[in-house]
Amino acid sequence: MKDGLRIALPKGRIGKEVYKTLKKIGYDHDEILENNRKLVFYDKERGNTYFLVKPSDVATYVEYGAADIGFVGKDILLENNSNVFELYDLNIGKCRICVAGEKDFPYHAKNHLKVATIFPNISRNFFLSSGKTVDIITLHGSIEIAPLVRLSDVIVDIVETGTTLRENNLIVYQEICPVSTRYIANKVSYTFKNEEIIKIYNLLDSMKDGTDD
Amino acid sequence: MFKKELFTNKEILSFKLRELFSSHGYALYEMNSFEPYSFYLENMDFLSSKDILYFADKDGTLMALKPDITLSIIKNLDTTIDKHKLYYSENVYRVPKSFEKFQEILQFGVEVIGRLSDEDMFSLIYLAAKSLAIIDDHPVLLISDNSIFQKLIEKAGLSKVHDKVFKAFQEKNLMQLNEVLKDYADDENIKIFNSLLSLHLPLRKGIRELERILEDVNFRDNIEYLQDLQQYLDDHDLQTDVFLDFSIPEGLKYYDKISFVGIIPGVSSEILRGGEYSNLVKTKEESYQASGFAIYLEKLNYKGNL
Repeated sequence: MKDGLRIALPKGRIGKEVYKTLKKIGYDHDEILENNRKLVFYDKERGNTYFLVKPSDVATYVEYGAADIGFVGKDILLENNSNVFELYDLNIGKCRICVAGEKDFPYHAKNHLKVATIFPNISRNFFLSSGKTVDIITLHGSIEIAPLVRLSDVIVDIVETGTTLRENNLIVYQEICPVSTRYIANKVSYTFKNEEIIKIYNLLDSMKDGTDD
Repeated sequence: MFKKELFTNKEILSFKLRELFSSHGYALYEMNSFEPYSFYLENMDFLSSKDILYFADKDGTLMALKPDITLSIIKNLDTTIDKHKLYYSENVYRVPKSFEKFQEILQFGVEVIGRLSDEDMFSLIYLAAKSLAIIDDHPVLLISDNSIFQKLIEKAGLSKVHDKVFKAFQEKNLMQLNEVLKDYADDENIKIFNSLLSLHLPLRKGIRELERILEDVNFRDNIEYLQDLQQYLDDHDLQTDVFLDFSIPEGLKYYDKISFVGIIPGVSSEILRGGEYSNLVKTKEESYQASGFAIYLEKLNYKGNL
């Protein structure tokens, strides 16, 4: 078995976008797209191993060295304060982390807020730096409901097109940061598998210039 | 004679390291008492872990279980002696990120402190590389010069965004670096910082590349220091791979010049960390310099070596 790269890929919609990009730079392995329950794929020809993992777990696999490289949203890196190298922005899955809530809520006038979010660390750091005190309520999905049922004053959530917010009569008060998918590497693998990791970086970068089309 | 099978791999490794340190003239430092909690609070900038386990002594004084050994060594130094060469093997009490509760961790460390020559500093880096070679067959020592980073920040007037630039370096994050620098630095400085962040080369090549990156700014002393280090390692026939890379250490306030980390294949983070910390020791004795490193043997558990 060749000692190639161990690559953590996110499952789901973003994973499919990432896979398309990998295919363009020659890191394809079509078995990954087959509709089965397999999660680990070995590419005998190149010696690379691909793992399909939950998007929020990609950085963990990379940080702890189970994977050499991975593709993960900036939101996950910020939330987990992941100790990895963040090498490239793929500009896939672009969205924003925002503070949002009901139209008539006086967000800017409030010094203390109840905040519902799936990003407790990002929220805490943001409000600490903006001088507001907050109670953080951690949820795992359907965040938009929280202000509607008075669980919280505001929410901190991913906003892509804003449709979900609009349909629930919510508006964005403030943007915290932009988010997109990043190419990351384990800090030790960066040395021991440097050539391959930099090769992928260069291929991704050359696609940006259109030189690889 | 003791039978080898009576000892764990960890114990055997400990003996080998102690033998190495002792053969290079280092004496064992034993810490048999506790320091006041306030001592660590006053020196928080120099601690790698901000969590300290404390207790009330019999007289009510708040004391701490050791989060660190180096600070105590410096506190208790006899400054009439020109050069201290010490090593320790002590349990420290810290909260690893992966556990979020206090753990007792066996830490090895080596310190050279006193009125030192460049050769003293280089010999400690050599010893770090030799220690790694005892632990694994294919280690790498990554070296950085924090004073170059610090001087560049000052020259470019970037003190206001120091922490953000430093974080971008720690993450090898060019996007973040350029996002921060675009409002604060001119094109020439942006180019220098970009090249420095991307630098990852074997020491000899790395020094040449560093000379090229810094050719328009006056860093001759730093370059010559690194060249002398390379020469010292060559003269002593060091076989361990040494790379120059500016993305490595946390805690710039601690390591004010050369810093380094040791890594081995199969262990996902550094197992050795060290560097020159003369600013800290000068708080005790102005004419002193210092350099040291610590080895984190518990990280070898991941590789099944222990």
